[in-house]
Amino acid sequence: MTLLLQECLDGLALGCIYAIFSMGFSLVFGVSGVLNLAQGVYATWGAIGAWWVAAHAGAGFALALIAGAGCGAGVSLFVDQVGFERIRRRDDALVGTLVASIGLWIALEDLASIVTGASVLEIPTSSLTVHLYRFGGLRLTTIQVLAIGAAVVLAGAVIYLLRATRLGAAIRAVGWSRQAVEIVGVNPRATLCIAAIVAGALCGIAGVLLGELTAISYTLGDNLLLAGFAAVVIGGVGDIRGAVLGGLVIGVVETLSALYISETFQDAITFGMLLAFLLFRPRGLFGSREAMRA
Amino acid sequence: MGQVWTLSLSTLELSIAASVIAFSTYVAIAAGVLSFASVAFAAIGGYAIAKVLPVVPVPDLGVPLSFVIGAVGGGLLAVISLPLLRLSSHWLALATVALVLVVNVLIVNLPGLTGGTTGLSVPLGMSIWWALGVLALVCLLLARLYRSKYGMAALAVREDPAVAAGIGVPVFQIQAVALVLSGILGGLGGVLWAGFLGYISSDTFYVSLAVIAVAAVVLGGAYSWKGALVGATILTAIPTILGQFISEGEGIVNGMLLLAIVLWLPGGLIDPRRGRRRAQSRRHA
Repeated sequence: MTLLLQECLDGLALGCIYAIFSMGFSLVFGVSGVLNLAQGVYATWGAIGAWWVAAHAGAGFALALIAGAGCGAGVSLFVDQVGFERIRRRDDALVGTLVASIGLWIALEDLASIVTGASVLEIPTSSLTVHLYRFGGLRLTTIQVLAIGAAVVLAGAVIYLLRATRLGAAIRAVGWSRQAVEIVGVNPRATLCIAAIVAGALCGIAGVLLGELTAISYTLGDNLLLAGFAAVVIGGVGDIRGAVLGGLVIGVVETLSALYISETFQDAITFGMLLAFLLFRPRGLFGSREAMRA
Repeated sequence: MGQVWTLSLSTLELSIAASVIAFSTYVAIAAGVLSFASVAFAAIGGYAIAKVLPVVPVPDLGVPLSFVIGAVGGGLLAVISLPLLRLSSHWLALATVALVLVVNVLIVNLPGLTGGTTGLSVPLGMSIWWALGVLALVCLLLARLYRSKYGMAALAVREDPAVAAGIGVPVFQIQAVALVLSGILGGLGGVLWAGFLGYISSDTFYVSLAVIAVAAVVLGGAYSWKGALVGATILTAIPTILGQFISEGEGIVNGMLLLAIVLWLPGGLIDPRRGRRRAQSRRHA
């Protein structure tokens, strides 16, 4: 019983990292309608940025996390403006942006593999003292606590941003119609830039946390991308709550199925869930009818 | 000289195989289904030849048998995935990505059948003549297909499914035919790809080949089947040519090339509409 609870807890911590990433994914997909395969790379570069700051400048974990968020945001802004801005103005934007994102994904991942020498990096342990917290037979490491805390804070912040601020209203509106937003005096390009920066920062943070939990390699983002995909489909597009819940579900299911069913078929279960949701409940747990049509 | 000849022959072989896989993607895209699944269909063809050739050691029998099994298997997988057509554009694309992932997980986890991550070696037997024959047949088929009634209907479905349905085009049937044909072509392409590589593993029919297939169609031009041929040839030739000058950074060149095409040449290299558009704008001027 304790083992089961412990596994759930571990899965929850992993799911929190997925949730942070999925929020970024959902934001871009919901706002600009771009199926962005380059998104995993933001996380990779976030992790590399954090590693560089911690290893070469001796920064502490907080600073490394900020550097990771900054790196992710920077890459995201670059991809958005260089890759998507021109194409979004055309009619047939879906295939165009998708292929552009594939191109940027390949290029940026290759660049990451050159920068890291295609080897596995570890964020120096000096940047973060790892404790083991125990309560009632269960244990959590500092990183897991940080992941859960970060997910709660960031989810709250993003939902507040989207629901309760003028900027959030502008971001949601620009996803609806670029022209309409311009009529009411919002600069659509600036709004899309801000959305890209927020999404990139979220992905960067997720990358740093996952890198801290496991290790950093140039393919770190690919795992997150797949989990993010699945999370957004299960949770429902166009709803941040759905993305968070989807991320948590994927994390817990992955961990539990590795333990109780089969470690080798762990991925199959995730993708099977993804396909099942696409077929039987395409709008996800929270998605609106509009999102289903899209 | 001999080395250059070997290099260009193997490039030619692989580019024929890549072209057939890219045709598989084109057929789906031409009916408005953005599909990454070609590589999943190709996997069936690839494992078909890897399993058939050791059993049937006479290449004159084994190779055609592999083509038949690959095509039927690819077609069957496409039939199984027909329910995915209920989804619309973005979601359908996502679902085909998921299909590729599921097939890959199966390949990795059924090592008894597929060799898993260690892979299988494919015995010699495939020859360039088989490849040229299959390519010629497929080209002939596609050239006729897109001048037929079906081609017109597919174009209508691609441009606007709602309008197409309104004027009486059976949208689901058109897309279903496209997906099954995509499965058959994918299976054939997979047989060629594996036959020429001589070795397949769980990484062979995975994301990078899926990306090449879609990229070839976009690079060559998504409005003519000839585009897929041109795009696949270029994308297969680039690594061979680049490999002689640089040892790393190939992905950066490929990725940037793809981006440049989408940004500045959205119709691809072969764009039948370009001339028409130009003529139109001249008339208006």
